Amino acid sequence: MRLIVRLAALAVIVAALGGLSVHYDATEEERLPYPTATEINAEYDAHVGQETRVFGTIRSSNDAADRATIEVDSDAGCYELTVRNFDADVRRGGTVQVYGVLEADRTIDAHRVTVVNPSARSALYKYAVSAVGAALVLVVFFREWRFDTDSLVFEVRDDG
Amino acid sequence: MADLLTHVLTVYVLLTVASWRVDAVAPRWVAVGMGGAAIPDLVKVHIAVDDSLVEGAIGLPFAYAPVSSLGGVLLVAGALTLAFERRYWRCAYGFLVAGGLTSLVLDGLRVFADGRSNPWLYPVTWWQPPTPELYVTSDPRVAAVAVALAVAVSYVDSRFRSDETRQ
Repeated sequence: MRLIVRLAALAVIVAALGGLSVHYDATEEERLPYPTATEINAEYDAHVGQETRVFGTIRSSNDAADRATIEVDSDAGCYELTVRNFDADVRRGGTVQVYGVLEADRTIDAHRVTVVNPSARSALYKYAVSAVGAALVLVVFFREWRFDTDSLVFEVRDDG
Repeated sequence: MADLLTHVLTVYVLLTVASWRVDAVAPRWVAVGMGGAAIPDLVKVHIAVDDSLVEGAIGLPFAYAPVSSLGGVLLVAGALTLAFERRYWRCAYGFLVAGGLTSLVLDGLRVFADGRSNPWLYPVTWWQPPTPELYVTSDPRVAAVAVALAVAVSYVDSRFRSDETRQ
């Protein structure tokens, strides 16, 4: 297949992918069941009383009071929320998902809190393990395939 | 999402076991399927270049999330397929998509606070399938189980292949 044809096809695919990326972000607020992190930050009071599911990083927690402060990331920067009925075993810097109802004063009454990363170190663990995964894919792939620099395509190694 | 190692090894295990029955699943295609398993993980590009930076640059709303969805897997697999010799396109695309879909399903099985996974069938539907909440990615037992299964399957596979060559 001629290079120009492949590049044209690639351009079409990249354009379609870009289209999806724009469409998703432009429509998620009306299609998802809960207000998004960005919507909550922009118009907090308008969403009081509604259910939501947010991801957040633990800034501080008070086990005795079952409360924690989490930092939520949104399209327009980070902001803090207080979580009531916080019962997760997680350290500062860890991340949680909170499913609950938005109350006045930037507070969520949690139905359920689940731990994503019990501590800040968990994120490093995931990156390290994922790096091993990436290396493994490359090694396994190039054991079976080689990049033919003349035709600029992958060819089977034992083919010739 | 599950870590990349778990994604890749899960596809290795499934395709290698399939290869014992189906001749078309040659080791070279297992390797391509493992590559496909990594497609949804490309969503992690946001760690290097945040969605909001892209948004600012192009002046339009933008999210990487679709990369980790059905539509994203079908398109990225198509782009990768173009890098193969023409006669391999059908197989390459099929195995890339199979690997990517396996990762999406695996990600849909993890714990979510409201019991609903992300809308990974986008753009076909925004429906968020209920999750059986089998695991949390940060639990090292997840990758450990994947590694143990992969080692076991690899061992059986090497026995299987040496038997085949002897016959």
